[in-house]
Amino acid sequence: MRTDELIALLARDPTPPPEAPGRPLLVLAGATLISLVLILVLLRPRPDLASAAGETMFWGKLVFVLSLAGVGAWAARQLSAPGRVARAAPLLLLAALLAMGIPAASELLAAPQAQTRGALWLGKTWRTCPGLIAALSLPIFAAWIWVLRRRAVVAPRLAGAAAGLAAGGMAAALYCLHCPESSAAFVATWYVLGMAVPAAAGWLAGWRLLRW
Amino acid sequence: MEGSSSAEERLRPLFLRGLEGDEAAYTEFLKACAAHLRGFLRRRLSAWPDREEDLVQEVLIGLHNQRASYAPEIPLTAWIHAIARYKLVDFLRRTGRQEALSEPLSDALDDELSMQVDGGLQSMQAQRDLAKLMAGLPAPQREAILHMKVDGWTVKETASAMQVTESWVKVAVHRGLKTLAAQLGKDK
Repeated sequence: MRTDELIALLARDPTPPPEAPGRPLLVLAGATLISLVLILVLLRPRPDLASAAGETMFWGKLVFVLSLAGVGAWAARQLSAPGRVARAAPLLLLAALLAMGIPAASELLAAPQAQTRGALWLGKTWRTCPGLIAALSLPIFAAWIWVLRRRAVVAPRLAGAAAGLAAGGMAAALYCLHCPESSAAFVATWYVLGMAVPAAAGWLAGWRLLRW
Repeated sequence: MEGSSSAEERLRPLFLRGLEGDEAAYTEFLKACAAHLRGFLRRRLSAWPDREEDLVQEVLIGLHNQRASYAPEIPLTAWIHAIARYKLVDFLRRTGRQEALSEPLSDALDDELSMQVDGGLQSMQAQRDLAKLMAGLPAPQREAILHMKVDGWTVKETASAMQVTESWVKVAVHRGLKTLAAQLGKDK
């Protein structure tokens, strides 16, 4: 087809179809609810949830993972609008990681013996934590991909990674309801690893999932 | 290509009127946009001049399908360029994959590689860069390329002059051109 023919064809339909506003949020909220139900039913909340809610670290890890989810969500939104950029994202990410990494390091350095250090770092659940966070992020990750596929993603790898981080952070926040661990070193390692899995998956599958 | 700010002033009102349903303005926008894109893509697609118009059309379709994604606070040209760049990268990825798949030697492929090298040369300001890149090739590949592409010899003539088989010449030329094309692509 010649270009003027194509233009004549496209020009017949200048006004875009109306969008249903709020639908992306609804889909994301629905997926988050699915992950929440999975946690409540399959993993069960930690029995001492009520008393844990009085501890600083309970809220500390929640704020940490939610801020990562926020950075991911913001970056995914920016990168799916042509002409917008997310230059601040790496810096924000670094700041959040340091905010947990520095207390983690000082906690380990302050530990009296190698044995306590190991206990702080590995906790009781280091084997299952990253895998569970990654698995719980799946519904939310799928919802993000659904949302992004309806937008114009111009940086598919970065947007995929950002969506993975947003999903991983949200799943980690829900996982806080179940997780009994409360050391910064544990969170800085195993939570981060769990959130990195969907982020890496998003990076790797970005072109395949978000191409248009 | 005209400057981005004058393109912005010209394209934006047309596009916004188009979104409100003005077909004539939208046609004008698409036409002006096609011209703008030709300039934008020509410099970046010099290795595939015959694909330029295809890509212009792909970008136009992309712009049209995503016209709801335009947010008024973003410069329109930034929006257009982001989409054009995305479609360009997508095209280069697809082309790269096809080339990797069609590894068997073919004259058509080598012609395309030569064209990439030529195209790269035009965009590079000085030809001495080619000499530098050529110097980086293994000597037999360099010699085979010089005989075939500069002296204009056939495969047979090159093979007998270099005392090697014809298929060796083909492989050497192909590999050498591929290396050159890759390096030119990297330098751009």
